[in-house]
Amino acid sequence: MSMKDKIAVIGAGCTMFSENFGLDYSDMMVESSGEALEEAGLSGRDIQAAWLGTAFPDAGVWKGRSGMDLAQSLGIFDIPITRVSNYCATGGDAFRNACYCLLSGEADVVMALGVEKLRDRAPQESLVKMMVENGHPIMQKGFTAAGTFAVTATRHMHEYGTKAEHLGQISVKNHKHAVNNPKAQYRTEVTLDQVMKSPMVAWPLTVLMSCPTTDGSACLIMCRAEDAKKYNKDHVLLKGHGFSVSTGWDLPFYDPRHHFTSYRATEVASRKAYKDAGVTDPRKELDMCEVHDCFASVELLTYEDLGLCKRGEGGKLVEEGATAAGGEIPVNLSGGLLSCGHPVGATGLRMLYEITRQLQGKAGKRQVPDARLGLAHNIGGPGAVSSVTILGAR
Amino acid sequence: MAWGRPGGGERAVASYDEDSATMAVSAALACLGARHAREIDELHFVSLSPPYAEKSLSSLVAAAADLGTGLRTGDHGGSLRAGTGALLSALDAVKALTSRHSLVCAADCRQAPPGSMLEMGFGDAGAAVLVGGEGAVAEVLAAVSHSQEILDTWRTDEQRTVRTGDARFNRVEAFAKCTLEACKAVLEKAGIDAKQVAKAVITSPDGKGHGAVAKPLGLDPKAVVDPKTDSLGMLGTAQPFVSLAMALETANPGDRILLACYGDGCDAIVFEVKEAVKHFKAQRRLASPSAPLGYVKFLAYKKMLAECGGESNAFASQIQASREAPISLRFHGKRCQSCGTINTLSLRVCPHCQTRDRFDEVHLARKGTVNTYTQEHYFPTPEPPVTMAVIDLDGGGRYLAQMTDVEAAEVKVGMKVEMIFRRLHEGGGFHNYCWKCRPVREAPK
Repeated sequence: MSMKDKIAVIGAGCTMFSENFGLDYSDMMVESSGEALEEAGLSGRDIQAAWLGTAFPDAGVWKGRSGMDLAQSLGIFDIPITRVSNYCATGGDAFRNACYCLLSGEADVVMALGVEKLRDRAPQESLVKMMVENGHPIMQKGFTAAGTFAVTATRHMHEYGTKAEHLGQISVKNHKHAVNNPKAQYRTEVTLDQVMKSPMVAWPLTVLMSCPTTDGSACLIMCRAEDAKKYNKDHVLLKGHGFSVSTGWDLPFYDPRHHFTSYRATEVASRKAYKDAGVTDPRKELDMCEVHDCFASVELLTYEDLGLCKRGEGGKLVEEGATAAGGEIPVNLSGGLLSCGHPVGATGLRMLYEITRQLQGKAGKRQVPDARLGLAHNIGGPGAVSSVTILGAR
Repeated sequence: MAWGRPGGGERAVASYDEDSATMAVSAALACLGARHAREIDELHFVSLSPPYAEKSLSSLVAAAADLGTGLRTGDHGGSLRAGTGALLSALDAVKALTSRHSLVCAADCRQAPPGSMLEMGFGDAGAAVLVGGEGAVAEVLAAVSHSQEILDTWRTDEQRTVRTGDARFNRVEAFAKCTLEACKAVLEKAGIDAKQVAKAVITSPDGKGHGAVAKPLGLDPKAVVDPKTDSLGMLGTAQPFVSLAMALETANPGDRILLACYGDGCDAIVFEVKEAVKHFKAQRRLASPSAPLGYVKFLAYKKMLAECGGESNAFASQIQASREAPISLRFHGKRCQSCGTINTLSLRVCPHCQTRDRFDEVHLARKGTVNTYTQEHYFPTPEPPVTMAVIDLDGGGRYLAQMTDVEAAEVKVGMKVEMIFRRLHEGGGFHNYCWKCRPVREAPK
């Protein structure tokens, strides 16, 4: 059963994605949900079920282990609230579950909210430390998140002749886009030379090819499409959604049949989403994409996994400028994770916020003229889990 | 490099991820070669610098060398003579038919006080000798042991570094007298004259005392094997076996070899070299291939610096480690009986065909090819960056491992690597060992 045109986004909100030293976990939830509720003309009491996405309570502030952290912060009680955790696809998964609830008829107005508070600790005390000190004592010891995504770049370069400079060009493009995004952490252009010469994190990925450590929250409020006009005449519609877990946390590195030049989870999830939405030529039919550029290599592989270009031609696609603002299929007009940062549980919902504003024609200097169809993509773990959502204008 | 001390020379230094147990594993595997590991009935681990004061290392070495569980293991130490002591016990066991094959592994990375002459004089090494079975390169003609209670070289239970007393007393009074006596006795027992000794290995605590025995004993000076103290260092309990291997490499069938090992007494053994020696080539492996090691890095490797990098507080569980020993220690995989995939994770369900609990445990090859890799610059280690390599093992199975003994620039997709047993971190307050990989290299001369 296709989800096409059955769900409407009636409110969307997003905090600054930055080092929010003045805001705590709860403050950010209040800000993102506040913007969304205001847009929908609702109060917290109108929400009948909610999903809270926080991926790493242990790396942050020990908040987000349960839906009760949303209840306490927003003063919303006596409704079901579920905490969602699915690595970097957490936000997309919160959204998906909220949609399922609407389709079941169990609730009429639902909220999906993602939030992550990482910068109460030094960057190396949060996600890097998590890899160094926790996890399996032997398996993957030596990896950080960057390394797990760097090995795909290495293999892609080996098989297709992709250059490290292609990864650099993705960083240059996304940083340039972010200049127009007032909610992005970094809004400064960088040159290819700066990207290539910035400190190495995990070869071939440099610091400027890696997303920073960031705080942030984003929130969406949805209802069934037939009710949407009651709340917001300027709503957008869900056109398609796919979600797939296609390998495991350890398995890719121990599975002789795994190849490192694509993410199967994205292929599976996007094919499902395209089928829902009736998209057959994504490069032509989509007006823009927000894809999961936690590291530049992931954006490059994702071009191919989403079918925006042929296998092995991701480097060529960015080189030609097709994915830059004004290009054939602009990718990450928000600046992407490279510029906005990656408060893990919030990222997927931040992308849907961005697509929503584009489809409403409210994306300011980032606006794609007459945007009708946009895609948001997340990938989590070592490329194991992916969420692909397509939203469309009314 | 002399590190501010008079004189030149070199010494062998164990890498930051090595200890006497990992070197013993490497030596054991090199010594066994293609021989069937299940035919080893005894394993002796010998060290004055064991990584555990209480816990058997022989059982660890036996597991990592994949010798199974049906064997006798023993740990030896206490004096520089412990290696030959273990060898004599092994010979007795084989002679008594209680063991078909006994493997003696001696390894040391002894700690010296920073800045001392000893620090430059010590060397880190592991060696293994296989006793019993067909095709021996040498047989024992006679053996004599003398015990001597004396204080010349020591380390108390509260000291980290080795101490030595008066140099002249140690050489003349402690070492030379006792060793000479034992050598005379063993030659007499073997019924040979000193001039009939083709090669003589005489180990002394200062690495240079062999002349003080060879001359009065009447050995041909050319027969005395150079312990290579100036290039390798004094190798602790591994010394007699490293020198014996060097002697055997140039020996001829029928030669008599004298091995005298001193340490609170002396073990003296006379060997007769057999035909098989013609094909004998000791397996050599060196950890660090390239650049000279600076003194600061040396101190870091030896954990002599208060803050020397490397991982701290890593999670580890003794219970989990025990459960996962088949893969993480013995390096066994699970071959699916339905689809034949070799799985290297402790999975109960084959990820390819979903067959549950129908696996054959298989020995994984310790060689493979790099499928892809990265170099991690932010993972704490004494030797950054950490190279992480995805390896396609010869004969099937894939494994993710750190690469060690390597320069970052030489790592390539498609390069050949061998698996090597190393120390990973100290999480849980114990040593966490694992299989790393390293480039396959030509053996050093």
